[in-house]
Amino acid sequence: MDRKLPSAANSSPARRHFKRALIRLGVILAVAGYLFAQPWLERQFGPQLPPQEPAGQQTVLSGDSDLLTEIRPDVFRSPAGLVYTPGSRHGHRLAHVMAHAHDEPERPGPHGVFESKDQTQVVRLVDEAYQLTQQGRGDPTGTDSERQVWTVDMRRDIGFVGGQVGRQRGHPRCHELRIVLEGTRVVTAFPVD
Amino acid sequence: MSQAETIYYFGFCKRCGTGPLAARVCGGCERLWVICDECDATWSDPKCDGEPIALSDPDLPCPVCNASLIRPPSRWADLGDLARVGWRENVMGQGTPFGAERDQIDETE
Repeated sequence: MDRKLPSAANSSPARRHFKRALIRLGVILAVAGYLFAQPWLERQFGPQLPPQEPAGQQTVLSGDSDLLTEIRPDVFRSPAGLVYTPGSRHGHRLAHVMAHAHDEPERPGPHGVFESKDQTQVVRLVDEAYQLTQQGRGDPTGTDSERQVWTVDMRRDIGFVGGQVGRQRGHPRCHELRIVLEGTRVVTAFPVD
Repeated sequence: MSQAETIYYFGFCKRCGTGPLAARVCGGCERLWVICDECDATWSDPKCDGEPIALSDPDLPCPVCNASLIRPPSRWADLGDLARVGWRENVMGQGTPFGAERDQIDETE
């Protein structure tokens, strides 16, 4: 009696299973290869390749800060709920605050300079000061109907006085942070003595 | 490369406590407005009486013609502008506006 040869109908599920496994393996290898090669590809070809981030609300690597969340295009919110928006001659309120990370010796008046030039640390400092005002600490100096101005003793060295006045006075150290807010929107923030 | 800007200031802002008060020339109507170089508080003259005029971000629109007081052709007033409106005698001193020195450093690097 002739043995029945295996029919095509009997072998194709196995082959299909094998093909699917191969495809899955190929996809995994392609993704792994992309992640591995991304830095090299960017160096070679220049354009920024899309990072592997979920869609929707993103935590923005805005400069050096990974604390800020982009809640609308170009509008960032800090962990404490402070909002940084476009504005000022620096183009953005965040850039305006970070401009206080550098002295400007010819700027009139007392130009407060942060000790840290790191955006994450500055954002954290401003958040800390804001949270202290919410706890009743801080002096509401200069507040008017439109904006709130707080001076908060941070109880540690946070920077120095620069500008023309700082230069004249030998750059005294600052323990206080002054923040100017419009609700939760940051207008500016800088060290004062 | 732009020339270094100079501001002629009338005093310091009573709202933020530190910003120099200097005049901006509106690029639309050429009126002068006294603006704090730190917190953008705005007044109509160097006496800075009363509460500042509320101008909105990001453009700080001129209260009269709505042109941006921040973007060109708006600019800081020079001594000629100040003399034209009789504000030159209010000048207390001069210096560079916020960000101008960093712009210069960035341009030369």
